[in-house]
Amino acid sequence: MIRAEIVKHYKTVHTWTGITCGFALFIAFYAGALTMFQGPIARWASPPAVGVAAVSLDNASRLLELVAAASPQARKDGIKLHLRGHENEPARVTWEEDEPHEAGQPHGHVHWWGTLNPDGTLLAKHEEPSELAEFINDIHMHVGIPRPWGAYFMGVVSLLYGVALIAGVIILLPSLVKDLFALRVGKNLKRMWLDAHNVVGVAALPFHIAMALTATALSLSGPLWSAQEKVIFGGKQAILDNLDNEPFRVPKPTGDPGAMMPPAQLLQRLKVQVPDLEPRFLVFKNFGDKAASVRVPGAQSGYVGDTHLGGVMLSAVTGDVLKDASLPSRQDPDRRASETFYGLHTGQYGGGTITWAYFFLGFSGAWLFYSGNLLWIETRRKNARKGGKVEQSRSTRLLGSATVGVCLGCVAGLSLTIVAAKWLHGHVADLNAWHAYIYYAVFLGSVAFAFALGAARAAVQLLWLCAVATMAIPLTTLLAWTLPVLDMWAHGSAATIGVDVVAFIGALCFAWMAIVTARRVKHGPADSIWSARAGALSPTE
Amino acid sequence: MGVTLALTLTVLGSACVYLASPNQKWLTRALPGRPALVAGCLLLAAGVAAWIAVLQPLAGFFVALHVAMVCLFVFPYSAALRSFGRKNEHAE
Repeated sequence: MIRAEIVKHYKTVHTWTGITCGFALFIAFYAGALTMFQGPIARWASPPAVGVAAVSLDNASRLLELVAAASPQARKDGIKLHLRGHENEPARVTWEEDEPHEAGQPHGHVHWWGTLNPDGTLLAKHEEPSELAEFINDIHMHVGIPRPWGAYFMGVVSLLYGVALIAGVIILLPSLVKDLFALRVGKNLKRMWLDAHNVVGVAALPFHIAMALTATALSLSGPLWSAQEKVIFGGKQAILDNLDNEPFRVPKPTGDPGAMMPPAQLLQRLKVQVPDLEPRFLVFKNFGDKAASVRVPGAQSGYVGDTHLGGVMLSAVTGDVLKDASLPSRQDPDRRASETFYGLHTGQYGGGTITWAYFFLGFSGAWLFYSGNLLWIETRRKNARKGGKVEQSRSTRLLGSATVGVCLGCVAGLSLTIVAAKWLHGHVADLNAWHAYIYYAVFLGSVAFAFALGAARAAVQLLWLCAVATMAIPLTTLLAWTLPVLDMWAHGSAATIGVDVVAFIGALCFAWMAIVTARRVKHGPADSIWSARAGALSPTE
Repeated sequence: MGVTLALTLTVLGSACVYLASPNQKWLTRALPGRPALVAGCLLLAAGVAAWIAVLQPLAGFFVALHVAMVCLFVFPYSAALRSFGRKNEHAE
């Protein structure tokens, strides 16, 4: 039996770590849940182009030759040959070139795609791909704080999140078995929020422990590596980095021309040598040289780990496997362990089932922090006695406003920035920058609105904003489909329609929450920050 | 086929574990505690085995664990939402 005094101490630790980190964790979990469908969102946001089908795999050799001849940098750095025909693959081949810059200075890249004209010549077009999905992922990782501080901040937040989890478990231990799965909906609102918080926290505890550990490690990996270099390796870490990079190092070009194996044959050779690898694309380096190579990133079914780095390198001349040390089944135990660790954070294993499970667990995590704040507010509510007026404390009102503004501002901001991908395409010079402007404008505006109006009034209106902004996602697709004059697009693949369907369901959920919240604001206990009736104080009072 | 079987076993196992709890709200009376809990654990174990057969051992274990976690918080919430809806109907 744990002494009540100890439980009390842990309650304080749990409360304050939760309150201080809750906002950042809400954003990280909500955006993280969306990031589980990064691919479909990128496809939804990508304008139609010529597509992969414009050049068959049999004609791809000719296209590669033309691109290699036209762009020496692409020939050296890599020409990507797309295979899947997704909407965010604008053409059969794409490549990048450096923007003009001084040697050794940081610089951007220009993105190109290429296809064949009817007469067999190269048609190359410069077009920046949509970075909407990357922006959402960036919000997930850094909650909008510029690098590298955002990563450091989230590292510390994740560490405190781990502390909050441990403290939360210790608080719950005395009543864990008795209250397991209890969710009592009734007049005792504090009890209800406590149950709602605990059900998610206990049922999804292993997920949260994994997230706290992996997020801390991932966010603080830079400083941790630097510390290791100084304390443990003493300047020898470069040797390890060298070993790590070995699977990706391409053979040096010989300068002698070589006959390239056609991509269709390369894929056949790959199938024979590594039958269970699902290739995502092919990257040709030093095309046309005797020592040309092809990197084939992809997933091996059943392995927990990153599909972005894993894969093989083939000879572009013979199709033989040159390097396969980054393949999940061939990785060293230490590399496999770190990939598993990373994979547990990103949910890149087990196909659609785990993607959906992480999606729901991500939302449940966001709810955990939102309900934690509501619980804190409810616990500190001063009850009206004998019909007398009651004044809720300033801290309670401020936290209520901040909870509503930050959480709902993040939801509305992300939905509206997704919608902007179609409405602003072709109308603004730098759409990727506009994604950030829109998100931050809505987010900061919502926070200001919540503080100006108070939690009760702002919650209803911001929930309606979330519902409308999220509903605008499928409505935009519907408008694009019915009114071609708008010059938008409506892709017909299951993945992109899935984005619309999920957004539609999400919008209905927000609308339902807005209706229920409005009812509480109108008819709920007047001695609450969630009431707009007389007796409850507005934040300006 | 393998994924469907594994998913079904995991969901059924989680449902048995939930229904064995005295705090369950799906049925008017909870299922007899120990037998339902044993059945739930057996179904979950079968679910883990089925996931491992479809994937690799580590991935199979983690997929089963995550599906069970989702079920174990969705079930109480679904029951609470139902009772919340009923209360609103009575109130109106």
